[in-house]
Amino acid sequence: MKLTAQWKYSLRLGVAGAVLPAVAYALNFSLPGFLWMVIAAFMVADSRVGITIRQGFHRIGGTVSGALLGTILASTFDFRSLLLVMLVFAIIGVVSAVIYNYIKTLRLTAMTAAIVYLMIITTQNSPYFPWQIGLNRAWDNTVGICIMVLVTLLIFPSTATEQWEKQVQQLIELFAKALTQMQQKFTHGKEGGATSEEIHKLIQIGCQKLQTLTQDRFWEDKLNAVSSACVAQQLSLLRLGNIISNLLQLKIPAEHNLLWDALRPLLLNVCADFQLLFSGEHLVIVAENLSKLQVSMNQLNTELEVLRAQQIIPAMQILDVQLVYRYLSLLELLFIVMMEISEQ
Amino acid sequence: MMEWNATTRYIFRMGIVGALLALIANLIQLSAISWIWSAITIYMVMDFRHGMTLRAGINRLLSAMLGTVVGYFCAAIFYQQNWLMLTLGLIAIGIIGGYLSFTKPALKLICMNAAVVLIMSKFPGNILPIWKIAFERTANNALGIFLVFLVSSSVGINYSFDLAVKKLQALSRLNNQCLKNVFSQISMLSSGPTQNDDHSYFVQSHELSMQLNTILLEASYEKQDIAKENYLVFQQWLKRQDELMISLQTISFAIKNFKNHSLFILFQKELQDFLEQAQSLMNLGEALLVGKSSKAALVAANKKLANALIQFNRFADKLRKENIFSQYPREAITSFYLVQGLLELFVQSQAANDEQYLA
Repeated sequence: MKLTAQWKYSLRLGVAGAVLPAVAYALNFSLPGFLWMVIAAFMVADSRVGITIRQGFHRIGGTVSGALLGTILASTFDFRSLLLVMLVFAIIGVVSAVIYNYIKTLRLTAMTAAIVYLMIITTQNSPYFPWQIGLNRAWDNTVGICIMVLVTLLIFPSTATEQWEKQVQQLIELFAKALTQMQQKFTHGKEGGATSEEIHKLIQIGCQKLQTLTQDRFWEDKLNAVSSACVAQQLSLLRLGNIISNLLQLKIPAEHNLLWDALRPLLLNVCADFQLLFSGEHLVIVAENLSKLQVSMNQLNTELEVLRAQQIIPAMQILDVQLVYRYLSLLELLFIVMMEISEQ
Repeated sequence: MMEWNATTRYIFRMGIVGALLALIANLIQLSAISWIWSAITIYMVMDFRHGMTLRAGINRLLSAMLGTVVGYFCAAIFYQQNWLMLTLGLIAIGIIGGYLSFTKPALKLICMNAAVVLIMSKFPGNILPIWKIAFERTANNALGIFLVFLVSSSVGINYSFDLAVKKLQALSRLNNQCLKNVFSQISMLSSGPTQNDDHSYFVQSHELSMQLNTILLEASYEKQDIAKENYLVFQQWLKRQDELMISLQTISFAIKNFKNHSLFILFQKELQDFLEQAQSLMNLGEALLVGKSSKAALVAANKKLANALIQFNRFADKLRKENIFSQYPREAITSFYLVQGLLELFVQSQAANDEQYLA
C-alpha cells in the first residue's frame, strides 16, 4: 500500500505524539513542563523538513529571548499594582515588536515573555527562583522542538525539494497538454477537452506555486550546503510557461490563408517534436530529440523563405500574415528556452 | 518627532493590546492559566497589517474550536491518569490533527489546542470536567482574538490593501520602464548600445507579482473596510498589469534572442507616439488608483492610444504592400510581428478592462 503525503504527515505527527511523552518521562519533566514542550513541538511542525528546521530555529530564538525578557521584567517590577502589570505587558509588546522589526526570526519573543512573566507572578509559593522558571521554559521548549525536528528528519522525511520536483512534473504535464491542444487546433481548427483559457490559468497557478517552493527549496539547499541550481531552472520553466501561455492565446488564422495552409503541416511537425521533449511528467531533452526539433524548425523556416521569395505575402491580408508570424516567433522562442534548459 | 510609519504603529499596537489584556484580565478576574492562553493568542495573532491580523485571528479561532473538540474526545477516551493513556491520546491527536491540517495549513494549530486540553485534564488536582477545560480554552482564545481585532481596527490601522496598492504601483512602474526599454532597443532610439536587462526585469516582476498575490489574500479579509469602487479599480489595474507583465517578459526575452530589429528604424515616429500615449495612460491609471484622476480622462487616453496603434498598423500595412518588408531578413520580420502583437494585446487589454470597469 502506498501512503499519500497527507497520511505520511499524519503518521509522523502520531509518532511525535508517542516520542514526546517518552522523552519527557525519561527526563523527569513535570506535567506543566511537558505541556509547554508539546505546544512548542506542535507549533513548529510542518510537512517539510526544511520548514520545520527553520521554524524550530526561530522558535528557539524567540523562546530564549522571551524567557530572558520575562524574567527580567518579573524581577524588576512590583506585580501587585495593576498599573505596573499593564506597563509590563506594554513593555513586552513594545520590546518584542522592536526586536521583531530588526530580527525577523524572533517573532515569538512576546509570547514566551508573557508566559514566563505570568508564571512567575502567579506562583509566589513556588520553590523556584524567577530565573529558574524562565530557564525551565526555555529548556522544555527547546527539547520539544528538537524532538519534532528529529522526528521530521527520520519519519517519512519530505523535503521542499521533493515537492518542487513534483510541481515541476505537474507543470510539464500541463505544457504537454497545451501542446496537444495546439495540435488539435492546428488540425481541426478548434479546441478539444480543456480550453486554452483553462490551461493558461492552470499554468499561471502552477508557476506561482513553483516560485513559492523555489524559495523553500533554496533554503533547504543552503542548509545542506548544496549549490542551488533551482533558481535558474525555475526561471527557465517560468519562461516556458509564459511563452506557452502566449501561444495558447493566439487564434487560428481564417480559412484560405495561403501562408497558413502551406506552413500548417510543418508547424504540426514542430509541435510533435516539442511533444517528444515533454514526455509524461518529465523533460526528455536529449540530443537526438533536440536535433530532430532543430531539423523541423529549419524546414519550417526554409519553407517560409520560399514563400517570401514567391512574393505572395504582400498581397495577403495583414491580419493573416501577422498571426502566422507570431506562431513562428513564439515557437522559435520555445526552442531557445529548451536549448537553455539543456545547457543547465 | 517620531515618524508614525507602519512599524511604529505596529509597535504601538503591540504595547496597547498587552496592557488592555492585563486590564480586562484584572477586571473579570481571569485565572492565571486563562490569562496565559489569552496572552499567547494576542501576541501570536497581532501582526503588521490589519489583513494579516484578521486572517491569523480567524484561522486561530477555527483551530482552537476544532482542536478543543478533538482534545475533548481524546481526553474522554483516554481518561486514565497515567503516562500510557497520555501517550495514546497524543498519538491520536497527532494523527487526526496532522490529517486535518495537511490540506488546510490554516488549521495548523489544531494539534496544539487539542494537546492542551488533553494534558490539562490530567493535571494533578484538576477538578474541572473536560468539557469545561475545552470550553475555557476556546473562550480564552476568543477573548484574545477579540482584543486584537479591537486594537488592530482602531489604533494606528495599517491596511494590507494600502500595501497592495503600493506594490501594484511598483509593478506598474517596472512594466512602464520595461516597455520603454523595449522600445528604445528595437527602434535604436538610444544614443549608445542599450543593455538588455531582461533577466533582472523577469525576476523583479515575478517577485512583485508573487508578493501581490500574498498581500491580496490578506486584503480580501479587509474587503468590508475598503470602498467598493477602490477595490474594483484595483482589480482592473492588477489584471491589466499581470497581462502586460507576461507579454513583456516574452517580448523582452525575444529582444535578447532575436538580434535583428532593423525594420523598426522605419517606425521611429509611430513607436514614439505610441509610447507617449501608453505612458500617459499608465500614469493616469496609477493616479486613478489613489483617487487623483478621473474616469473620463482615462477613457480619453485609451482612445488616443488606440489611435496611435491604428496609425502604426496603417503605416506597417503600407510598407508591406509596397514590398518594403520583403527586403528585410526573416528574423527582422519575425521580431516586428511579435512586438506588434504586444502593442495590440496591450491596447486590447486596456480597452477591455475599461469597458468592464465602466459597465
